[in-house]
Amino acid sequence: MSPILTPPEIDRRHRAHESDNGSGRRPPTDKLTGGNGEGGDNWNDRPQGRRGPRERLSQVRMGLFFGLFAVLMFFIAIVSAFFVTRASGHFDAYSHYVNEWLPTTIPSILWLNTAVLLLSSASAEMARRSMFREVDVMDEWIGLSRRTSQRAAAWLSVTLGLGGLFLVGQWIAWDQLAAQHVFFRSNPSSHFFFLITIAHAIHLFIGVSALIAALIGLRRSHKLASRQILVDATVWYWHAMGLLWIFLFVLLEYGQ
Amino acid sequence: MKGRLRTNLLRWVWLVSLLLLGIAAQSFGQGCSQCLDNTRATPPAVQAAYRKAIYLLGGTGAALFIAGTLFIRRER
Repeated sequence: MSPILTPPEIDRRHRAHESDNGSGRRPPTDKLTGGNGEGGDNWNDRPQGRRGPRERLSQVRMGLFFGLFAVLMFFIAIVSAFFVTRASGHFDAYSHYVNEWLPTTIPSILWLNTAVLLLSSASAEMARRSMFREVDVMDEWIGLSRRTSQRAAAWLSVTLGLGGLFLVGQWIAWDQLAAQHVFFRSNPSSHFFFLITIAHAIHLFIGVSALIAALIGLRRSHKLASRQILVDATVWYWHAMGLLWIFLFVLLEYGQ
Repeated sequence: MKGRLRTNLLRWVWLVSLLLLGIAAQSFGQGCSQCLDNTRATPPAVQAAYRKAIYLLGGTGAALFIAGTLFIRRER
């Protein structure tokens, strides 16, 4: 038999405080998470769809890229028809095979427009990068400043101006061709020139609308993550339209 | 157990997909006879243009499919 008798309730209380170092303070029993990925705070361990802003950004990017795949296929279909029509013809009354394709002279302003679009893509990228600069993002997240949004808004405004300039340049190109009596139905070649440039201009106009929406979002949206996603998606769309235009321009300039 | 079954299934899907792609390249798709006659009646330059258009469309579609698959795998 033990020489010291301990009442059971005292023994139980003692066991609850085994890590007590004797300083008289109760050690913390409920561990609160202090960030730094502790105690299930790691967002990657959460269920899918609730892993924070990075996951949202990935989802939006994926949706955008799949949408862009569809746009690319649309233009590739037009380009395929372009190749077939360029080689096609018909038999005339004397059984001669006649090819009606007459290459359209591309207005030289399209070179300038291409340079403007490349510049606009560079300014859009500056806007996108400024939205993800870590120190400024932390400042803005804490609420010390709105430097990232202000800087991105400035670059997006430049992009918007250059995009508008590109569209005006395209309008001038169509006007120049019309002055030479080259219209949509003049020739298979002019038909494809107008089809390709107008289809691209419509898609770029959607990009301009997205830029305006992003600028409004930068002012109105309260969540930093939403502003980042908005700018990121808009800029990726803009880059895609720029790349697409370079492909189409090379085709029209050298592929006829 | 479930994970291994899934891996095996995915492996089989990949194998069957590659097999089907290989067969498709060698099967010389015939299409309708009217289209075939029309195409044969065209000069060699037009037939070459058709071929180029088919390669362009098929190549882009395949490239986008592969890029999309890799993209999804990376994001999962």
